[in-house]
Amino acid sequence: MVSIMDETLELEAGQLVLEIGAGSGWHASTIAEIVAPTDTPKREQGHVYTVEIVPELAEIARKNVERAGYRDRVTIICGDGSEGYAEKAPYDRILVTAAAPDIPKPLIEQLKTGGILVIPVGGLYLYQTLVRIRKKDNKIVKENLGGVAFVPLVGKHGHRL
Amino acid sequence: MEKQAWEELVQRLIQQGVLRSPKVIRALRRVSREPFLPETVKSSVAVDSPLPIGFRQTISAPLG
Repeated sequence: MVSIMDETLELEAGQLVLEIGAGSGWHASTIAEIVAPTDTPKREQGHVYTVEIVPELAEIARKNVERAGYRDRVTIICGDGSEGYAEKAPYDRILVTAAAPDIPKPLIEQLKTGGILVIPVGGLYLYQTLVRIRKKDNKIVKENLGGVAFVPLVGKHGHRL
Repeated sequence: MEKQAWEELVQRLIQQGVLRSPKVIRALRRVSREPFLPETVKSSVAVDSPLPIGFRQTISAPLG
C-alpha cells in the first residue's frame, strides 16, 4: 500500500505533506525521503506532518522516526486526524492511512489548490475504495483507484466504533 | 539477511510494475520497514502483508 500511495500522490521535493494515521511512522518516513531528500538544501526541503490518534502509537512513531533519522523532516502530532491539522495548512499533498466513511471536509479545506488528497473511503472492515482527489480552482476532481482494506478512521469525521 | 530480503522485495515490486518512479523506488530502498516493526514481527519484514503493531493497528504492506 505504501508503494501504491507514494506513486499515486505524485510526490516532489519541497512539498508540504499531511498524513492522517502515523501508525509506526514508516510511511511518513518514506515520504520524507522523497519530499525532503538529504541532498537538497535545507530551505528547499519539504516536510511531513503526521497525525496519530492513539497516544501510545504516536510515541512509538516518534521514537522510530528519530532512530531512522527523519526527526527533522517528520513531525508527529497526537490528535484527531479526521479534522486534519489546520496549524500548518494548506498542504500540497494529504494522505489518509485509515478508511473514512466519507471524505472529511476539513481535509479538502486544508488542501492547496492544485493539491492531491489520497484516501480510502468505505465501511467498517468492508469494501473500501482508494480515492484520489485533485483540488482545482473551483472544483474537486475525484478518481476511484480500486479496492483496498484499511483499519477504520476514527474521530469527529471518522467512523463511530 | 534482512537487507537482502528487503532488496528482493523492492525488485519484485519493480517487476510487478507497482514501483515505477525513480524517486519512489529510491525512497523504498532507503527506508526499509524493518526498523519500524515491533520485535514480535521483525522476522516478517519482507513479507508483503500488513503486520500488527499493537493497539488494533497495522503497519501497511509494501504493496498489498
